[in-house]
Amino acid sequence: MSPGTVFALSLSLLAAILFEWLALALFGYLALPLLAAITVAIPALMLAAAWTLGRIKPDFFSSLRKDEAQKTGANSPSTGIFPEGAFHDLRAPVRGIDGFATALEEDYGNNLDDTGRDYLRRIRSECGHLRGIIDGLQQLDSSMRRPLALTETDLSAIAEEIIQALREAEPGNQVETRVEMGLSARTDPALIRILLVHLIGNAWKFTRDRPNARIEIKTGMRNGKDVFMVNDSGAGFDMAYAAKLFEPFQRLHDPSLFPGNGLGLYTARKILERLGGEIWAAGEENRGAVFSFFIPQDKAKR
Amino acid sequence: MTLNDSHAPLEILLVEDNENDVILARRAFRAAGLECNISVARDGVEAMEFLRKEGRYSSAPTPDIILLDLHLPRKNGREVMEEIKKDSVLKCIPVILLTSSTEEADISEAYGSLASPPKDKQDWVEKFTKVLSKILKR
Repeated sequence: MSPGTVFALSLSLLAAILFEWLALALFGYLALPLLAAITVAIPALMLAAAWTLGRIKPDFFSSLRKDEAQKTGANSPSTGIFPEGAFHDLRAPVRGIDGFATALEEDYGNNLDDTGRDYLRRIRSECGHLRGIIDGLQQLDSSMRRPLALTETDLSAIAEEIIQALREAEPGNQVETRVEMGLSARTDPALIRILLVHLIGNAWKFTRDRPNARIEIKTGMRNGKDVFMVNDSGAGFDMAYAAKLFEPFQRLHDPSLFPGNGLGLYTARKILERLGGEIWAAGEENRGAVFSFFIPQDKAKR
Repeated sequence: MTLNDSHAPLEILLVEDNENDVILARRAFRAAGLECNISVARDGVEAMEFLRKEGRYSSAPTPDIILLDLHLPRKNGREVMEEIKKDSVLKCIPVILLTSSTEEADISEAYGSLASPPKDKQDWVEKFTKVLSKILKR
């Protein structure tokens, strides 16, 4: 209940009580049935009047409107999650903390002992962590904000490019990869790229340093729907926690072993929600994971 | 001055409203051993007054390079950029946007547009790249 509603109700109850005193004084106890009716009627009338004047809006109406907005937002340009300029203002203090910690380290590091220098190193490391979270939030925000541009999209080519970039960044990592040829869908290529960066990036991260590591991108069936799948032979996860995977900042693994900003799979889910699709995860601890996603072609054509 | 005149310090106009970023930029130039005079404009309006030598900037130097932040009070970086590009004199000054873009192509393009490159260009480019890597907005 909004503060406005509470205020209007209190005001109308006060009016009702005053009216009752007047009636009691004039008519005595004969007036009781009349008073009961007034007690109910006056607040109700005042609320109705206030509602008509648009001064208060019951919460359930605004929540209905919100649902409606979310529905229509599924396939149209959205407003994003954060106000314009939020990221600029979030980044500025991090840049300052990191910058001055670096300056301290470089210019005055000799005046500190090892513990002091270790503290500075930790400040800088936390800045990097915070910057990663801000990057993730900004990517999520722009994924929700940018207008959709639906076109025939070659998922195989995008997947190959992402794998190529991962191999270049980490040439020592031995992973066998297989991408099925001709994976395509009518959808938004920029969003699909972000989605695949997260899914393939995760597969890469969780197969790192494992013997006979393998990543496979292919088509399949899930719940009677044609889906795209990203399979890996990595660390996997316990299915008991599967629901948590797609929530923000939920981790099923030690972040010091598998670092991340905690937003990758959440972003993947939000992108598929925006495209009207779905994503599922299946896995087994130390046996690997499968992420399947569905992109509706009928909805995407709108 | 020209950049061929290797003993004269480089004139730089830094258009930046954040005091911390100004301190860190000055330090980055000092740390890289690049001798330069850094003038600071706190917003886009001040930047244009400086460049056009208006009012209190009547004796302002013409910068060799402009380092331009995008988020500025009053007149933002893109508006400043547009005005500079429309001005027949100012459009010759290389402008480096302090965005998160660290594309090397952008940086060498900025060097390429310097009217007269410094004598020991390679050394200078290395130092300047080092400075930029520290002051570009991340």
